[in-house]
Amino acid sequence: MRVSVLAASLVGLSLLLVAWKVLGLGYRLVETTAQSGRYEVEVTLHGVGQGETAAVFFNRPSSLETGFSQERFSASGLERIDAANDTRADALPVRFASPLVARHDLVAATWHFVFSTDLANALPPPPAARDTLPSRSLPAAAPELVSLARDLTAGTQSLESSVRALYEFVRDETLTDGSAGGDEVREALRRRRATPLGRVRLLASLARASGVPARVVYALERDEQMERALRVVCDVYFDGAWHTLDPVRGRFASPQEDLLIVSRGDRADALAESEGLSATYLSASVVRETANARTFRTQSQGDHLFDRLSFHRLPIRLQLAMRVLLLVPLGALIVSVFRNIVGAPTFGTFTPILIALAVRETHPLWGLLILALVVGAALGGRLVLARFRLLVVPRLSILLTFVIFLVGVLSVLATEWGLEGALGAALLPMVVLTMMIERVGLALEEEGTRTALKTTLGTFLVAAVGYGVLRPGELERTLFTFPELNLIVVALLLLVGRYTGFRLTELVRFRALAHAAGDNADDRRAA
Amino acid sequence: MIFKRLAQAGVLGLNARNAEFINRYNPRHHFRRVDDKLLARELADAVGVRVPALVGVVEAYGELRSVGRMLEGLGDFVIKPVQGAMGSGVLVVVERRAGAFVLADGRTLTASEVEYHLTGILAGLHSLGGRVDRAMIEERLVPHPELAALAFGGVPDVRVIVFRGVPVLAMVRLPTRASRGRANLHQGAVAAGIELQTGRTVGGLHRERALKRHPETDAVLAGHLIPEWPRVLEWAVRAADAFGLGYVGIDIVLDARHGPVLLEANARPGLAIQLANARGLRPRLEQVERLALEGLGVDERVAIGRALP
Repeated sequence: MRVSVLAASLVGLSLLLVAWKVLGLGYRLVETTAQSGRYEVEVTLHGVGQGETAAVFFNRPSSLETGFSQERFSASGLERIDAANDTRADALPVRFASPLVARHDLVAATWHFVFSTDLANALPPPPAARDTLPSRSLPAAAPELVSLARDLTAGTQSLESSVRALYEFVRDETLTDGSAGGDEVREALRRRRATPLGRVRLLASLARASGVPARVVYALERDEQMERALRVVCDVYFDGAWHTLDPVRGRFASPQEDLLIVSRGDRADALAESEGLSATYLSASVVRETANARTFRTQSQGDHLFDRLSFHRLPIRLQLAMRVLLLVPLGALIVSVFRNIVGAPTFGTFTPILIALAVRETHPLWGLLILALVVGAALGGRLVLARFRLLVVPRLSILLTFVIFLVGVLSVLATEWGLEGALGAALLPMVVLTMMIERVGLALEEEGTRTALKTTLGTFLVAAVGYGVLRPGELERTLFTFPELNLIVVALLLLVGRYTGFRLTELVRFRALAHAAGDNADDRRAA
Repeated sequence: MIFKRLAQAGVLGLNARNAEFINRYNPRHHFRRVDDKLLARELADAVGVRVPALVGVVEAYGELRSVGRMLEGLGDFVIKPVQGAMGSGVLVVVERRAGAFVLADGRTLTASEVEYHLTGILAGLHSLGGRVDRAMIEERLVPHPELAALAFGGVPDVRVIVFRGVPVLAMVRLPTRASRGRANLHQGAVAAGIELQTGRTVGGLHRERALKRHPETDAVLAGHLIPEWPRVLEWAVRAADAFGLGYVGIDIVLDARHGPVLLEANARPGLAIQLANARGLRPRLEQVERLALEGLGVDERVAIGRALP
């Protein structure tokens, strides 16, 4: 079959599928998150079995915070045992349990919901009586808490400084520790160690013990993320307003624009609780809900074939991974074009794409800077290693270890100096990087500086262009809903594969011959 | 515009070379006949083409100790990776002085440094595809006096492109000081085209630019006669037949004692030969494609090549 026919049919098929989805099912070709008061959230409680009965409860928030909709629950290692159909906002907690979870078995329960900040109350509800009273999880009346609170606030002049004293105690005198029982306030005080939830509850209890309204608040970071722990913070009411205190990260009443408040002071002051499990922690995945995701959800009751095959069904963590993967064919097309049509030399066939993907997670300029730094330093390391005259594979392994250390040090320095953009260094593809450094080193030795430099520049150029296409944005979201667009990429690859014309660099390389041809043509015309 | 001019000049680009010639005329399973230099030697030798004398082969790390014995009494020799490409990993030893080896480019290495280089070769550092490799040690060839004036510290190397058993284009590569005695154009060696009919050099090329005189010796590059030219062509065609490749570059050096000696062959010969000859490959290739060549012997095909316009 002729290549051009195949390519054309792939393009046709792709456009047909897209048209069907857009016209027939109502998906949008250009994704927007314009209505992005909505987020898809997955909260998962992980735990380790202890050889006894285990249970997990999800405490859904009271009717005051009805930002929640479209809830779905799932679990591994546990069974759902409450009435499954009740989705009223103030329904009883959702329960998962198992009569016996073997020791060291991992279990997880997941709560998937859409959270709408438009619907949720923008303003936190004003303090109520119960915000100053002890509760099951905040034993504000316990004698040791009361006396501690009194000691800490003795001599303070204002309400704010009293609260600050309590905050500083929790921040400085307790440590985070994930072991079992770490959510309990009295234990936390006794051992001076607790989970983040335990520490925040301690602060809230101390505040309540001093008569200051306090609540435990769960929040997510607003940017998309995978499996990062939920943040738990303490809202304390003084000077006529609620202030958010984070003793774990050390933030006192600073504005928290980047946080998405998911729930405040539930029944048990915990979004999820467990029994019979140890080493528990909560993690959350968040993704902004797009117009298409919403369409998908309203459609999927209809069970259409395309909807069953849609990537929107995936758990959020996989969705985010898939979004990146779907861009890779396009990256490969860019490499093909640069090598076969432009004629740019690169180290490794797909190395530029791996670099572009890694840089994607960080700020691009930072990413390239770090990359250049790492490559340069590693080349120096390679020169030093050469003195030891080691066999090749162990030498490369040492180089790899050196690269990893380098990246580790850079990450630590970045954290120290608050350079957020540089933190992504840890995501660089270390192994590929080491191989590339070895090739650069060899090229420098065997082929001379000029050639090595040219190939390095070529690699970075292609990586830069690759980044331009692969960076987070509209293209990524569109490909996610319409993965069939990649058929067009395949069609283009087919065409590039058959291109037998000159490469752009050859136009320069052979230009002397072109002039000769021109001269000959002129001579022939003159004769 | 320039596309058209290049096409008119009959220039062959890499994409076209790969798609129209290499993919079509070089069976994949014959590549190893030229990529593996030991195999290439055997095949060439079997059809009467002279190859450099082989001192020995190092296959395993354990054999490294016996290399000293292998080299006993030898004042000069060449170490190469068996599957190397583009001259990577080649060590040319010109002299031995009290346990030290003097290289063609002037550097001096100790015995343990040479041994270390061998371990690199065995580990596949210089091989195509990075696979583990063997090292071979051959006699060092000495430049033919007629070309010695043009070459610095190394042996001039004639490359003939043989297509369907017919020689179509040839060039000679001359080592320079800059290329550290290697006939590698990327490294700064000088090239000159060779007229197939006469065996005389034409033009001159250095770092992809035309030039008339050798940059270091100032000798004029054109007009030199390649010694024993008819034999060079004959052996190039014979070797190409033995390798079973339809589009191949055969490298033959002119040694002072032995005359033409086949060094290696390349299943993906480069395109700089067009710049050296100031003419594109395509016109001749297309001509040869149209010819009926079945049953023609080596001499007849050499004659066809020499008669190409």
